[in-house]
Amino acid sequence: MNKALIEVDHVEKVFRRDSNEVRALDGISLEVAEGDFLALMGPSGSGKSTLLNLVAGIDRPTGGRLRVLDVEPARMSESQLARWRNEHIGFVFQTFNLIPVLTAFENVELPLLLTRLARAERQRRVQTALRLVGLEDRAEHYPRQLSGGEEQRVAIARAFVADPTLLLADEPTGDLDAHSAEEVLEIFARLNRELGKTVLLVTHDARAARHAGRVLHLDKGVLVDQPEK
Amino acid sequence: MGLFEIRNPKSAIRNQLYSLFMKFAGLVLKSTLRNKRRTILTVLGLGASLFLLVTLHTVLYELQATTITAESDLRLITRHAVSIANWLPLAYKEQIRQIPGVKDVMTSHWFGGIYIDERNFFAQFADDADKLFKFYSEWRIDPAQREAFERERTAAVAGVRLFKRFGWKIGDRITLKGTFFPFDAELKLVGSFTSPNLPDEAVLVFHYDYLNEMIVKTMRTRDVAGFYVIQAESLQAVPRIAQAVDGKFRNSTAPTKTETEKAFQLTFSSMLGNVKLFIGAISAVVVFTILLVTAATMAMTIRERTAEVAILKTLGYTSGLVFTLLLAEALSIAMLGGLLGCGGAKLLYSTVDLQQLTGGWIIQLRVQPEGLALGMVLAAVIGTAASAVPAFRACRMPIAEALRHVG
Repeated sequence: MNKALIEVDHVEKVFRRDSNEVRALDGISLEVAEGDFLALMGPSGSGKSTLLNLVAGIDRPTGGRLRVLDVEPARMSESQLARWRNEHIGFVFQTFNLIPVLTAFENVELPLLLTRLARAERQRRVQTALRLVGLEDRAEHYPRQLSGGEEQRVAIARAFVADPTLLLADEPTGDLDAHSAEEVLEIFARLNRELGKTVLLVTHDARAARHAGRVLHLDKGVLVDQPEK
Repeated sequence: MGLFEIRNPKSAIRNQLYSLFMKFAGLVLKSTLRNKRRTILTVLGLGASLFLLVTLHTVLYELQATTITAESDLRLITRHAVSIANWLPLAYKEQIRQIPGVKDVMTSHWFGGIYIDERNFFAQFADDADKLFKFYSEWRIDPAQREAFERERTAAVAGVRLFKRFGWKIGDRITLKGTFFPFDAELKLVGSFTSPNLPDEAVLVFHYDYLNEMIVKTMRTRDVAGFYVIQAESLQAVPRIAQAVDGKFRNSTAPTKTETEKAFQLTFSSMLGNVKLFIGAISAVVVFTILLVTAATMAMTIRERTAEVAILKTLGYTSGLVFTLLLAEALSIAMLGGLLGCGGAKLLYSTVDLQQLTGGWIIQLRVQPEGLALGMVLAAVIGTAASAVPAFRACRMPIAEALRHVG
């Protein structure tokens, strides 16, 4: 097995809303190795998106230990986390979340604006990323001029354009028709297979299982499958 | 395995700042124009309020503006202590001239006639013709015209602005219909003058001798002056002269009040004191209300984009950078409004003939650099104040929570 990129060790996440307490993750443990394509499945409210947010460092666990790429995101400051995400994490949302006033090209370029890359180099990378998702001819289109599937492919290009180690996707096919969903899953599979990207995909779409190398199931904050320790 | 070869070229700080600006300028510009109608309305709202503010500042400045020439510092005005409407005996003239430090004294009288129509208001004085251009040496007139003015009893001179306003030509004859004098002044225009103090160029002057002659003919009085203009020998003599003149006539039937020309002019604007306060208060309320509405709109624009802030942070943008970008957007809109309002006021008041437009009541509105600076600073303050709090809140909100704002 390759080196573990993600180490989740008895991680807990408890949300408090007024006097109510919701235990989203209940002592979960798992490891994801470099080059893995892991699909995390489960019903709504099972805690899979919460786990993804913890891995991406956009939320913090309330218990346990989580290491990602040899660091503990929970111990990092907000600005350190921002830089770390820019360098190492590519995140894809269910609802695409493209910036509506920017073209597909400009949306994909957003993470690169934080680097010191020259404009020409940024352009080259964006064009390469758009070509990899099959949208090089849509570069100047605005999100409203794209179909849902195309929007999600732009979002995927935006996620990997800065060459992150880890790609995280939260229900990336949730808002897509069957054909578009298949295209999106195939792109993730190619990024994993051909470029060696580690992919952690949260979904309740059974088709994802066909593309992922490994599938784990979550329910009520606990892993139904036994983690490989 | 890497998709791309990473290169981090080193560059000078200035180049980095420039490149930073160039990288994010497009993003800021596009975000600013995200809702064009709202942006335009916000800019117009801000522009209108700042235009009003600059106008108010300029009007208040003009109300307090006085003659700006060096010559005016040596001039004093002696008037009746009770009111400018009370006249002084002509005999005072010689007595004033005897006071040490006084170089010369000129009789002056406000005429206040109507030229064709009441709307054609302008200042009219009857002065000692032979002294006028000695006292007002900053006024420039053709020597031949000056000679003609001093020679002819019914001659009049006027500033170039009046000539332009009414299309007068040298040699024209005009009639000023008396208002508080029971006679008309029949005058012949023999000269036009310029002055470094633009309001002076909207003044008409004719002979005091002619006025006095008409007063004697038509009224039960004679040899009266509206006020006296005193020319001091030196600046040091000015306060002494004022004290001496007023002391001399303190116990007479017509006590005087002597003050510098500058102070005399300010008494007119001080008469408008309550009006100024009233106009100022109303304008301030209007401006402040528009500013509040504009600020609320700008704040709403940022609040609507809380989820977008979260997306940028997920991509690796720090809270500080996102805050700066949001502030830059708000400042762009505010400064655009500022430029529109302040620049519009400057452009309008420097190109429109206000004398024509207001029937002579306003000669000019000189927008002052301080007024423009006030407008632009206020624009920046509004932009910052309106956006800082919502931008700070949006940036501080945890990403996971902010993402739930996505529809």
